[in-house]
Amino acid sequence: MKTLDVSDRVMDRVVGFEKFRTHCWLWMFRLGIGLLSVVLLYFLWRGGQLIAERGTLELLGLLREDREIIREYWRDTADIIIAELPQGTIFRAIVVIGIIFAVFLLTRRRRNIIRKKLQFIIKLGKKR
Amino acid sequence: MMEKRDEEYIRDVQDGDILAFENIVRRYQSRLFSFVMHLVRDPEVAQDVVQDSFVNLYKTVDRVDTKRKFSFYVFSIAKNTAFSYLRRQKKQVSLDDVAELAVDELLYEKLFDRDQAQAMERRLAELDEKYRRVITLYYYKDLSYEEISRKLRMPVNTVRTHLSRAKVFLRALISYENS
Repeated sequence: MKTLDVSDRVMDRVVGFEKFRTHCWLWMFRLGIGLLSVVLLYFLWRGGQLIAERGTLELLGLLREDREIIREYWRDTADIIIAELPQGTIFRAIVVIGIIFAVFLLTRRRRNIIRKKLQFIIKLGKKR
Repeated sequence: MMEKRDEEYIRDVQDGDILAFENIVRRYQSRLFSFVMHLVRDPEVAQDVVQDSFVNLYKTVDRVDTKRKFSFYVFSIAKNTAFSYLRRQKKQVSLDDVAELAVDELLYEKLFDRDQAQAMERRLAELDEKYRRVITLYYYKDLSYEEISRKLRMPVNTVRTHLSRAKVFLRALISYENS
């Protein structure tokens, strides 16, 4: 059988392809997480704005009162605070946090593989 | 250090070890070159096709099922890459060549499989001397019909006939053993 050695040329092409593919994946991942983070920050800001508009935090002034007054009114105050909280916005923020967490969980194996590939790409880049 | 099986190297590549792919390339490059040469009949083109085949293999490595025989997959990719090249060159590939290549693919896989080396030796030993010589010169020494004809001092058509009969016999033997 005729001998042939194309391994160097093949590996050069493979490394070039993998560099491109890996960087594309990383940019897509960062973009995705970035967008989700922006959405989360918006919900947190909006929630904070609504709480400020409604003066919900002022109800926490109860804590400055005597212990007996706190003991008597804390349940009512808590009910009012919960009622006044922007529940829709908070719920959406929790959903986005859940999505970010799920993305990190589901891509854990893939990210480890990408990290390994990048290490090999750097190693091969130094060799060639 | 004991060499790993193909499937183990592929699993390493799927887990991110790019360097493990080089072992696959070194293991299959000569076999694929011989295989592709019989179709494209040009050594420089065959080299390019082999390189393209390996790159195509790498691009699809995540889809490889390591439970199945890997060599089938490799030869399949090489065959498709060679056909793509021939189509781009607008070269006609006859149905006989396609059928012959399908048999060749199977025979290449069996002839050069290290795990089947003993079994293949036994099968070749069952061939008639004249057929065995032609098969050995064609597949293991990569000689063309004309070179075999000169070496064995027989007409080229006789070489073709002997090779064809040898392949039919080997194929039948392999099918019988598998059934």
